[in-house]
Amino acid sequence: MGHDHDHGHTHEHGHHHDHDHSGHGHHHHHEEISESEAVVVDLGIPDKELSPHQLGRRGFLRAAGVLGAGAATASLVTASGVATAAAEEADSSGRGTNNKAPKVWLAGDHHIHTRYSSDGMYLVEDQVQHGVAYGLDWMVITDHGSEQHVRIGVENVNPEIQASRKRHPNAFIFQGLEWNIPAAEHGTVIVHPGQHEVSVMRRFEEGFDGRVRSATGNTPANEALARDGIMFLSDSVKRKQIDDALFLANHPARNGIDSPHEVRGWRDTDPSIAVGWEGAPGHQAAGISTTQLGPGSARGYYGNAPGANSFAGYPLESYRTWGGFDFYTATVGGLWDSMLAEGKHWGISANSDSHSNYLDTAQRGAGSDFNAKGFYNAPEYSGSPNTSAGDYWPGFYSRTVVGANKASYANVMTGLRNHCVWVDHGRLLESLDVRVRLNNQEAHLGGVLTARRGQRAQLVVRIVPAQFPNWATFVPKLAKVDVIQGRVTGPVSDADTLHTPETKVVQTWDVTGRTDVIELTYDLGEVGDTGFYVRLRGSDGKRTQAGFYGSSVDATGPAIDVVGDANPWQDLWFYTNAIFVLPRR
Amino acid sequence: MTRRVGVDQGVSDALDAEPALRAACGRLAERGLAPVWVVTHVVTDGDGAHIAYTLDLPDVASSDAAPSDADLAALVAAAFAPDASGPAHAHDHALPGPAAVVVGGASAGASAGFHGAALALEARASGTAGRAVVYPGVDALRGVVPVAQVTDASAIDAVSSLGGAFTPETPLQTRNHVRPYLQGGRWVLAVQPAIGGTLVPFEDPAPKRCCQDK
Repeated sequence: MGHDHDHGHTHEHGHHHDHDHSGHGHHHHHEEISESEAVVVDLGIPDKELSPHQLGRRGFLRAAGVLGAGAATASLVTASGVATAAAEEADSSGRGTNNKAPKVWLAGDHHIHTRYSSDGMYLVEDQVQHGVAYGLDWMVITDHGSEQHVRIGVENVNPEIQASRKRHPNAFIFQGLEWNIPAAEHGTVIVHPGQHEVSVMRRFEEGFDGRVRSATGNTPANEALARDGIMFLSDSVKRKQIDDALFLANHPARNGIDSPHEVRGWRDTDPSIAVGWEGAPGHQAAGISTTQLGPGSARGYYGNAPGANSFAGYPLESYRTWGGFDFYTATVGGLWDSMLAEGKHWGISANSDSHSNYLDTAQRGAGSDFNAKGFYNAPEYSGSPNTSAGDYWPGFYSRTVVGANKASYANVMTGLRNHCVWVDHGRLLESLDVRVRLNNQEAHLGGVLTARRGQRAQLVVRIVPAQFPNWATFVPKLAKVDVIQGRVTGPVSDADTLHTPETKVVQTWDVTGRTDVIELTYDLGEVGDTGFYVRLRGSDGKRTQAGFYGSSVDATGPAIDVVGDANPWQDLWFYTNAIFVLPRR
Repeated sequence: MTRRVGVDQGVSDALDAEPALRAACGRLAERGLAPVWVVTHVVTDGDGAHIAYTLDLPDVASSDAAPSDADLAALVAAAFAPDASGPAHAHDHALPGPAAVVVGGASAGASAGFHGAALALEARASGTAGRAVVYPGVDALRGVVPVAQVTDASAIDAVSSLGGAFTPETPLQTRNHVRPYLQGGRWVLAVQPAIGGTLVPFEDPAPKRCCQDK
């Protein structure tokens, strides 16, 4: 992933208005559109006065036809209320900023623990130098929110991050947090580096971490606190305390406690902050069998059963990984697709969730007292490989690959926000280029095309399969590529909807034996009255079975991972985010 | 005939109740009251949902005077006394607290849980959902058994498979932890593929549950 870096990211904060957000008094009316969204759709405010994330959001809405010419589709793409304000602009271009071809692809991992987590052990530099060695361009340090972390870790981790930034000037090392989302699972919060990165993260953790606030229970008040947390990030960007912020949900289906209405609620609170979830969880080594000297647990540590706070509508199947992926990314027609079918983007990622790594020879530093000190002493050499650890080093197995205009902190975040993302396991792909063409228009991953009804769109895919050995020292072989297409059916009347019946695998190519460039095209059909979206998936073909909604929807989807015998290197998949094609009025 | 008792210890995860239930069942068995059914239920009470249980206890032999509801409630509360069990493991799930027991019109133990215990009784009576820990035939489902034995030898009505076919002879590694769920009025055991062409019950007795271990 060669790229030129722009090291000119200065952080000028001429105005140090440090608003006191100590309280949690930001109680927004979430049934209405957010303040940030109101600014985005208020076309009386020119583009140049918007923050980067607001501009990106406006670009998305423009491309989707919500702002300007295609406003008839507004209800399909945005929260109610946006359309009226939006329709006033006459933008005939129908093009969004995220339809440009990305110039660089940056591999990363947004879920990495260190010794500032009670279940972690590594120095920041342990993680970063391995991640860089294994080919990552960006990483997010995400220690757990906790009483110790908010008091000590959030401050103390920063100098370690700064030192790693200096030592690895070509890598982008974000300070983040693994947020205990009130009433829900964990999530990654990412902030752009800057003068206030620590103070904003600390205030966020003080105010909105479910563990710090004792707000883990499944109550409406706690669910509201989670949405307030997203608004806090929104406000912090708007007030220019930080340049940018993002949130992605982690291991969403692991305990069944991220209900569909909560996920939709996060997204709709501010879709420029809440951009997606882990399509694949970390802990991918956890399922290696004990006979192969592995932990013999469940892949991804997805071994739980429904609990008191679980959403009752989730089937038992959703508590397990399928081909290493979370059920709601792996299941065609499942929750992810039902969210996309609303006409709203939602993205995926694939990360290590590294706490302690399989076959690593490190152990926690002697004499540590995490409860008192908030961190473990530097790890020490143990003398023997750890066969019970279930994680891989960042970059060793999982990658989140982000398309960007240039290599910078800001552009990594913009790429994630614009959903210009594909993910793979075991370095299955060397590169991937996915476009939808329609007349003279072209959209890339995360893009939106608008066109008159009756026009036909074409999918154009260029894949370079793996050309070099991966970190398990073999060249993975791509065997098949699937096109998944779904009609945009509009907003759901029940926010707990977790199935969309009109999304299915529409094309599967057998590419067995292809080691050169693979070029594929597919006629996506007419735009239709409501439009559609398309996404891509592929695998080494070693483990497949019919999908949850039957073989007519997904004949050769990922198979459920075998308990105690899920070697992740023998079941490799890639997934992409979606591209939308929507009708113009 | 059995008599049904509702119990609430304010547990947030059903697995956290296992040691307490095991200890209480042992104590009740010593008095000739080994539960015939033990079922866990999700109850929503006050600030949120948690787990409460129902126990179906056999009637005492006819030569003995049957204990009153109040005496039975006190007896069950004593069987759940904290020293009868230890914490399963150290993490931050709510561990079993003092037991609240409701039987008939009587109650005993921690009053804060009476509502939850009553809700558990309602849930059991409604027959819509539940998870069985003890049921007729549970002792036949230990070690490795042909999966057909689940329905042949116990009160479980059906076996459902997550992602994979099986034959009646397919070995089921019970892990001595077979917990069927009530679905549509029937007790159903979900199973899934495991190493070596075997099956395991869906529910793992010792999953890695959270990211906050010390």
